[in-house]
Amino acid sequence: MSHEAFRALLSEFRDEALPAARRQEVAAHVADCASCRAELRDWDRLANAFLRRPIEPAAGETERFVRAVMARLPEPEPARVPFWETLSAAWLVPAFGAACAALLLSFAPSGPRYASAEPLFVADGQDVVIAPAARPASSGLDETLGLGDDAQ
Amino acid sequence: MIADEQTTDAELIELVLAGRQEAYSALVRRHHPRVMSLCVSMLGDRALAEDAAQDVFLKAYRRLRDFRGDAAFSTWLYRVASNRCLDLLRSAARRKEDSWESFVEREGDGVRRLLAESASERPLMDEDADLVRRVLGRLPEDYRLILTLREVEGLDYRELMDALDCSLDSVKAKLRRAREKFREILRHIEPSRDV
Repeated sequence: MSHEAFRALLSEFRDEALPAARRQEVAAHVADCASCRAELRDWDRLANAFLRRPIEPAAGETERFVRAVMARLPEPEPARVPFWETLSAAWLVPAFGAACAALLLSFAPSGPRYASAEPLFVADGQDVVIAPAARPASSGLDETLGLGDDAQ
Repeated sequence: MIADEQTTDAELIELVLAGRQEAYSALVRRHHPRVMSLCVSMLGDRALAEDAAQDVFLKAYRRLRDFRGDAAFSTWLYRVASNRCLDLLRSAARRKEDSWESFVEREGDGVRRLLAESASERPLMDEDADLVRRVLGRLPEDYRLILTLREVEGLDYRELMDALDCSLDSVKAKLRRAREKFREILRHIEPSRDV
């Protein structure tokens, strides 16, 4: 490898990011090359001078920071709960009662009893006279009692 | 107490998404130092960095449902923080960049002092932050970001890929170019050197 090829690997060499075999090759070159050693030394000086970690925040500073951030957070979104988990006994019981009531009503007779085709009166052997004005128009009562038009 | 040291980030996120907003405070407390460190390193101003860090946690909260857990939550936060810092740097009023001559004339002594102290392990003091900001300000924003994530925050290449949403080859190439560009500063500060 040429000097320039080794030089191109110095950055990875410094970061210990080369495979072991390649690292040994570069290390051997650096041991013999003043220019590459100078470059590595310069990077160390620059990093140590200008890329130092700032002073760590004190514990009190962190707590103040945490409070400041928490105060700026938006209102929490309500948690996403599946529909079936929203069913609770509080309204499930009356809902169940209402469903049962509706079921019972669906089996009940749908109309008033006098609308039935069965006779409303049973003759007891005596003549029954119904004035024409009082007769229902089409109640079927005349036929039931044998009071057709001929009987009048 | 909704969370302790053993509660994982994933468990806390699940609690927050289930409506336990207070669980988010544990996530903020846990990750505040990292986010703040990145923002200070990138923006060079502690007050500005704190505002930016708050914005980062607010944005992360709103987008928490988008976090799929492919990468660590901390790496995902670095991505949110990186984007916020880049937005701020890019939208800042761009001043006309000094020539290298005037930069060296004005900042040379301070830069040389920091270079002389570079062997020390002490963290960067606030009084040096402004000088460092001006030095790093001579780098393109994306170079500055990748150098900060690698050198200050210690992200490995896989984490850099996730934080910057780019390929491994892109991470390698960008880091190499950023370091070469950064090294130019020595050519101007120490002109007698052969670099």
